[in-house]
Amino acid sequence: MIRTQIYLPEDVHTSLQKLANKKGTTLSKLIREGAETVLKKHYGKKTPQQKALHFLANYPDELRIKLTKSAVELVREQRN
Amino acid sequence: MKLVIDSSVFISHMGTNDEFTPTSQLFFKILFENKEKVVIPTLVIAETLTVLKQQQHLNLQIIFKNFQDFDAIPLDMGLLEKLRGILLKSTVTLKASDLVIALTAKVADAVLISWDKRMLTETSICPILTPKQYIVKVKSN
Repeated sequence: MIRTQIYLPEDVHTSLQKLANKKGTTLSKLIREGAETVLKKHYGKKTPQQKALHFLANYPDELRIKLTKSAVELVREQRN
Repeated sequence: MKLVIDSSVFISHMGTNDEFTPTSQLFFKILFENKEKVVIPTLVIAETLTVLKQQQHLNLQIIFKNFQDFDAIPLDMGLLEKLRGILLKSTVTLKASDLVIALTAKVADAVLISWDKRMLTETSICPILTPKQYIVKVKSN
């Protein structure tokens, strides 16, 4: 786990602490649960990377472009 | 298997007429199915976006947003320090950009995936495969 520092509004902190006491858990655990809920809401069940790979695996045809040269040549032009 | 994907693979995948387009499409489908871990050098993002712009791609924003969801490794002083170490130790024939991308794969302990013959023949600091070789390897396991 990565240690990080966040600021919470006082009333949110108080309420979370009370809830943690009531549930017999910790403030940190509740905050982690909240963070996971936000991520699930945004990405669904997929992680950001799975979402990105899903996009590429189902890349829309309307976004495809006709290349003027081979992909390798186009990249090589950037590097030479 | 952790992978670093070279710009040539993204460009061929996003094109309609590259000789490698069909295999690149299959490659990304297999990556998604296998939930492979992908790491992208920021240089690859810059190159891919530049080439797509020059090739008249109409929606770079959606491509950029998609790249943001991958773990990106920047060319920073830490990577340059490792680059210095390699340059001092051995003879290098790769171009600077090729070397940075290969070095990113080495640092990430990943396999580099590229269609570029030059990279495939001259890269010695990290394992390297074509998407086709990756597909064969995955299917044989």
